[in-house]
Amino acid sequence: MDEREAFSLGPTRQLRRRKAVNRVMELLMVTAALLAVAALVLVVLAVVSRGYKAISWDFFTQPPATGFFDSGGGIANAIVGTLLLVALGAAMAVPVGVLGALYLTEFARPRVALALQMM
Amino acid sequence: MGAPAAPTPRRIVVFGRRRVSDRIGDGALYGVTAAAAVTAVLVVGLIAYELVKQAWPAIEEFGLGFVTSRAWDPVKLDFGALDFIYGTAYTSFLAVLIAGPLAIGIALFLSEIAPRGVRGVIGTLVELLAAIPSVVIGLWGIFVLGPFVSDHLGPFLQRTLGFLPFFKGDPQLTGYLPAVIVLTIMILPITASVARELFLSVPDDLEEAALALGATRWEMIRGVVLPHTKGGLVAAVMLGLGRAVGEAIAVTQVIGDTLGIHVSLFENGDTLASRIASQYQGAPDELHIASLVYLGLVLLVFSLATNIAAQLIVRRFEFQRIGAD
Repeated sequence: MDEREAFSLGPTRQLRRRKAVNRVMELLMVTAALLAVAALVLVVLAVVSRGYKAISWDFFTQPPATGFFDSGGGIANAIVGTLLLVALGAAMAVPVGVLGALYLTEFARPRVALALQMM
Repeated sequence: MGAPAAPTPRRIVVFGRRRVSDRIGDGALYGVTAAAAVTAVLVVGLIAYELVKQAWPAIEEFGLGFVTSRAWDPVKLDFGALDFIYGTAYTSFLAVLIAGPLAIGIALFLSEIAPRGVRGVIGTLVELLAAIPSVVIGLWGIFVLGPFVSDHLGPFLQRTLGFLPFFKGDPQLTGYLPAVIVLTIMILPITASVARELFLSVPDDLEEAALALGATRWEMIRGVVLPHTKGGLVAAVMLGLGRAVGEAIAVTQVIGDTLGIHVSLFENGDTLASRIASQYQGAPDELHIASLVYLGLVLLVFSLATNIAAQLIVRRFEFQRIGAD
């Protein structure tokens, strides 16, 4: 090893290696994030590009056509059904969930709370 | 409370001055909240009870041998769960194997290295991935992913890694591979967002101390962030596993709905949840239905075990961390 290198303030080989490792790892993290975003974009694009033609006012406000071979009609029944389900489900689950959580944090002894939490 | 506070507010005095309505309110609140907690437990219990009751004909007929039997013959009325248990374990395990590191990478990117502006945008986008309903991902699996796998990804894997048993045979439109990809996409956001919360909970002091000592960012992550969050990360991954195990519809749409135990990712198969979803409405026979419910029971045990294991692991790591101080 010659003298100039020994006293050099520039990065040593070890530091360069550490920095390279750091670079590679950061790159992997960025890639991971980009992959997730790519998945989102791919799914949304595929659905929109295949589905946009069917979207119209009637599609949302009409029930499906009744005859087996009739085309047309909409998904009004499915929308109303979804809303009903969600509303009823929330009406039942929210009080139980919130009050149950209150019990867990305020009243239950630690052991009981632990057991309940598991459920 | 209405009365002015006494100079030395002893407990008894305070209680004595409580208004009647408060005293009743306290008791009532206790009652109502306890009832809610009991209801939650009761629901779990009722579901388990109902599962056992509905599955009883199958339990009587096949006993525990159901779990190790490979039969699923609606004509001869001979049923078993092994193929579906295998399918569930195989696809979920692979999905977690891919999604776990990816999710941790995303979370590290978002919490440690992304610039402020990018952080919010990417974070929101990743969370939006969780908002896509599973049926929609399944549809995408049928229309886009299936053809892509059978025409491009499959042949590519066959050419480059064909010597591995995982890529034997010919890629098809459905099978384990699309199922694993769909599951990976579905468990990625939940795992990533839990991991991100964990990384954000690491004290800044520790991180900055590591950087001040000359560590690179990766060394700081490996030396400080990851050890600090080990237990939580295991739980985050288990959470993903739980979701993968229970996912029904999206898997049904892409896995091919066939019996079989294969190593090759190009083969068709089926999972517990997917079999229930695809056959329940068409099942004409009592024993067939009971067998499907029995599958559900196996699934419940499966996911309960995952959940409890996750919580136990978390507690152990928690203990280690506190104990080490």
